[in-house]
Amino acid sequence: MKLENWHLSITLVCLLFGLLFTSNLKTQLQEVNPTAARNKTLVDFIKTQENKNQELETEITASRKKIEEYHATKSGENGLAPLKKNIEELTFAAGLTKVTGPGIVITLDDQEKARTSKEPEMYLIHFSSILYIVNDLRAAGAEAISVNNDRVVSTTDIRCAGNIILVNTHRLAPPYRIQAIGDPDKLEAVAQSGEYGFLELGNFPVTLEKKDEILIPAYKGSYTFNYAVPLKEGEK
Amino acid sequence: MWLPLLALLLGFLVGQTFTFSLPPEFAPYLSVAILATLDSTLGGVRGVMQNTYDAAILMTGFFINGTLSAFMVLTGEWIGVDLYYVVIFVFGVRIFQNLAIIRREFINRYLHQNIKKSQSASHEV
Repeated sequence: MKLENWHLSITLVCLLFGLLFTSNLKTQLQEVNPTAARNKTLVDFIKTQENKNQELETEITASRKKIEEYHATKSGENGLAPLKKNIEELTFAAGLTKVTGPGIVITLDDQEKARTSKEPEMYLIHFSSILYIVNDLRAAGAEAISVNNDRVVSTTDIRCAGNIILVNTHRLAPPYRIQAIGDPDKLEAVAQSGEYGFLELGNFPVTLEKKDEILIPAYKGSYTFNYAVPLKEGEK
Repeated sequence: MWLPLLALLLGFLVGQTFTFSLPPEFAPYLSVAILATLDSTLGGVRGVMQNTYDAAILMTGFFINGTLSAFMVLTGEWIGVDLYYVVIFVFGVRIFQNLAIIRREFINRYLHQNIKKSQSASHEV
């Protein structure tokens, strides 16, 4: 075959065209969805943050254990016994210990209709329901409360971010399980007359159980005060 | 004759295996550039068929038309007019014209020749 002068340049052009064409094809076939890409980065971000939170929580528990060990070794010394007792009482009051006792267990769940309805928000449990129930239980004298095994303490936040409920900045998934230690009859009566009663009337799949023994876990987070400074007695 | 076709296939293969896929923002520019280069390639084939082929014209046309059409889209975005359509229209029409000429040349060169041959053969008999 004789190589004519047009062979070479056309060959080059054809090669370049094929290259461009396939690379364009590849570009076009890419998933063009900026929202999805952005969501993915956000989800990854949240996941890393949650992992970090978990690491910090384990660190806090380890530190607390260490402190306890120090207390145990020093307890023999004179004068420290009352202090140790004081600390124990304070950690108990702050919700830093596991507690057990009689109380009630409330479970809340979304309605089946939420899957098919055009207005699913009508049939979903909102953060406000959980917040109101926790308030009702507090008003009824609950001594320890947990939501999905997350202890509710003085700094606990119950809020929503998008379509997710957060307690202690931990994500919750339905069904929501609220445990409270206190006088079971009183807790039940107050809960029935409050938000729980409303949910029951609204055909939500909710249950309330009185129990003789409930185990509520310790608060896993930490208390940090960046701005508040304690005033000593006598000042102001 | 078969060299360009082989090169085209090789280009597809190389593009399939090696080329990075560009970010989706560049997709419209690349698309019109490809339209322009397709026109240039077909123009080259037409030139060969009509014996008016010029390698310089083909190569310059290939690169300048490609870049210019991409720039056209960019300019269109700047001034808020869809110049995209201008590129599609011009090169679309030219692609069909080139194809039509190639087709005619092909028919003239091979089909009619055969007919003439067979006719002349029958005359001989």
